[in-house]
Amino acid sequence: MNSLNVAIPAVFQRSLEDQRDTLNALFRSRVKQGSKIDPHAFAEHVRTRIGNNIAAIELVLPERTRLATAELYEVSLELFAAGHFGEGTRTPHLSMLWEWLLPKVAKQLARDPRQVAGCLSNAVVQIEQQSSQAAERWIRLLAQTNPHAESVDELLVLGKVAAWVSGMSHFRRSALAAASLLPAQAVASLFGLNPDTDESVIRKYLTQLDENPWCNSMDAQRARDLEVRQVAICAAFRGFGGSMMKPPSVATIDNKLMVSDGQHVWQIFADRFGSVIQRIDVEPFQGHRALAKSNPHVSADGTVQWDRTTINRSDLANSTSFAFDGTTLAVTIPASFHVFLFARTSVNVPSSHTKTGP
Amino acid sequence: MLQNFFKRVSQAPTNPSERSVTREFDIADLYRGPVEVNEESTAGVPLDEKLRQAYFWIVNHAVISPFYDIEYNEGVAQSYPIGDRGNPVQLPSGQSYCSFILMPLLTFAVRAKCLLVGGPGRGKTSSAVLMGVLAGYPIQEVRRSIQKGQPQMTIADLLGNPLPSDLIKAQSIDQIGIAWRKWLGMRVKIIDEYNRIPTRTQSALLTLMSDNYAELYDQTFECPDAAWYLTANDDAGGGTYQVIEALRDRIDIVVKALHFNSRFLGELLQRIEAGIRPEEMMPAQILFTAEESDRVHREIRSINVPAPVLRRLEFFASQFEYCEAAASQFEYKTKDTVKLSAIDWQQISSAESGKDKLKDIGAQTKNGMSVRAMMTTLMFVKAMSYFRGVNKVELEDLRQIIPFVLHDKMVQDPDCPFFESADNTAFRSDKIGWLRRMFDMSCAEYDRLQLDRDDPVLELSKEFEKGLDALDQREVRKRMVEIERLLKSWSGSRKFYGHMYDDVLKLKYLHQRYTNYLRWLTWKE
Repeated sequence: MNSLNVAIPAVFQRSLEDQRDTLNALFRSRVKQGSKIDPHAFAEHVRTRIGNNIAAIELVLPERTRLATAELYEVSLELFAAGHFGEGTRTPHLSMLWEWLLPKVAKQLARDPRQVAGCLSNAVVQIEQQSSQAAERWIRLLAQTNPHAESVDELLVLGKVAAWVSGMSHFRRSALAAASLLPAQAVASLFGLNPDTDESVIRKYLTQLDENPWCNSMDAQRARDLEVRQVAICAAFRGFGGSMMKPPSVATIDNKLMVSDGQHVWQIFADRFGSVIQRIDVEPFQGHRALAKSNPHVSADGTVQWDRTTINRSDLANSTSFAFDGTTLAVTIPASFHVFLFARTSVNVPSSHTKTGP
Repeated sequence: MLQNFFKRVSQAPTNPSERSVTREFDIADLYRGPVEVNEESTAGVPLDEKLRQAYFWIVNHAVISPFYDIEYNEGVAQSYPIGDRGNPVQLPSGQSYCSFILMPLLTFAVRAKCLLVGGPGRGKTSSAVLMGVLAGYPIQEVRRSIQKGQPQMTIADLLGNPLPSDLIKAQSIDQIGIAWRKWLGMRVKIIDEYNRIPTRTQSALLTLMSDNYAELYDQTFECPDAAWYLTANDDAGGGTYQVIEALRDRIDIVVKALHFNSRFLGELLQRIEAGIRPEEMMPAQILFTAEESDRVHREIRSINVPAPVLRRLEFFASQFEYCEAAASQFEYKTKDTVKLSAIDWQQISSAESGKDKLKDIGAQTKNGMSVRAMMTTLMFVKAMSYFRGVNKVELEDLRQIIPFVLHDKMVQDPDCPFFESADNTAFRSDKIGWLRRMFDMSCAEYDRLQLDRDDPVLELSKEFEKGLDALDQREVRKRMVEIERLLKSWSGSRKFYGHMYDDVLKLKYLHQRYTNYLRWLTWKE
């Protein structure tokens, strides 16, 4: 994966020489503005990461190398200034993006270097804040599906949908709208469907995903019994990298799942691709256990009753609260900082979505 | 100085209110971060706010239409009976709107088709032109693009002409190039006095409006999604040509241009003296780019219609189709059956008995509510809610929108006893008031029946929607018996109303689905 080369490509060297004064002035200007940029780390970045991308661009659109050099240089300066490159970076997957993915999208990078490098870098920063694994999944998914993107716009739309598929569940609604703009083959590739899948089946699948966040591709193609099962665990103690100061409780507001630790409130987004909590600005609440008649229901002994399905979960005994938004049941217990999520699904939930133990 | 006044836009927020605590996360946020890029931006004024600013600019500076006929209340509103009949003038306690400006604006937002009706000089065309300018087109281009209906208008006038050189050289029809008219590619389309267009040309217009493409010499032109504005001085047959029914049916919403209030003559004078045309002075910050229009459309579609509000619309819509005397078989007991048979309506309606025709709103119309009308209603109520900055549709939105959508779609039966009452005779001419009254009556009936609390058909439907899988014979039989019992309880009553008709058909549907499933279960076992 690491394709750093020692030698500077000739075309890149020429481009640097041509624009030497301008590029040096840009660096000086940034430093003068107070940005702490390590000159050695930046020089190494320019020589290796930018150099490799310029070499890749030369193969597809050689006339764009000069412009690309200047724009990738500027984007890099902004990322260094914000602390996303260099020693102690908070965004390790940015290196993977610049070293591994950007050369693979050289066609689009050449057409609009600032837009492509800038947007994709921003995306890595955003995703990495949620989950490092999701950032890696996103980069790999984009590399896999990129051949279906002809233009910069298509690549960026692909990136948006890939972000959702990689676990950014809070983008589900708008990502679904974006997916409808993509060619059927690109959608099939994103969702891991057979590339020969009929377009009508793919569109139907998108509709099903819209209606039911826990629908999987198998549902789209053949009817199967859905089972109630635990699909995810979200939220965690702040001391262990989560957000909760106290064991939280859940409730629904505007028919949306919320979790509160008594100090703040987060909205819960969960679907078959992952679960995310996002802080929102409302009054903290104390959740409560719903009425005995409610469906689904969690009994005091931990039994989850959902229509005619019963799941015995002694670890959920004496649950402090539970809430249901129509597709997902959220449960909290006294001795845990987690929120346990249940849904009707046939998805084999990846282990990354189901941390174990409170 | 006056020019500056016309450049002023209402300060945000134009409708300060408690907003929903939750927000939709936009995937466009993904590409925002440390690197500045030109990705689609949601920064700045939200588009619903921009839409309201556009509304207030038009209503305050462009069209002098001081009418607030779309009334919203927050708490108690003051009301004063005026005149011999004592019809009340209400002072709304919430932000209320002028339909003549708001409906064309919502049409722009949802890219629908709006008919502006009213006497000459009431600002119908000006209002449509403003929508063209709002879409970012230069005023000259909007004016040039207006299709002016007149008796000599040909299909070529409307769509374009074959290139003369191609007509001579071409070996086959597909080699004839067409010079398409420029207006076909615009996002706002204006047809002035559409009821003066000859019938044949109306048919070409129908294809354009319904299928969004133009066809000439086997060549087609695909038009972009657009908002349509049609004007008519007199929509009740006073045009040069009768408008074909299919074309009328394509119109989503009808708005009346109200009279000029003479108390505002001073403003007119001011404009004349300053030589100002407001449509030429629309501030740049309220113009919508094509991308913004697309986003508005997307955002409107994402507005939630809560189940209780949808149920009210269902209940209202279900009242109109049933016509007991129309047929002997239950499924055909509809007003549509009567219409297709060309039998005199009076003859059939007088045969209806057993119902209280003063209370039955179904007796007031000669037709039912079409699927197209329901879809348009849903889209416009979402737009109304979006415009008000609320993220879910409220019952009042439905109440306000329904009269404008159904204005030309519900055919009134003026001989219905309901209109004989002194309080109701005005509804023969006041269609907006009539349709709103029908909706109020429907809601009152819904409340009286306590359908929010006790709706056995809804319960049975919900039970069915959970799926048939894993149901055993005993459970299926139990559900079928429930359906049969419910039907039996209704069968004794002579008073059978429209909403019950749809309920009975739903029960029959459910019973049939269970019957088929039971047969399969029996065979399997």
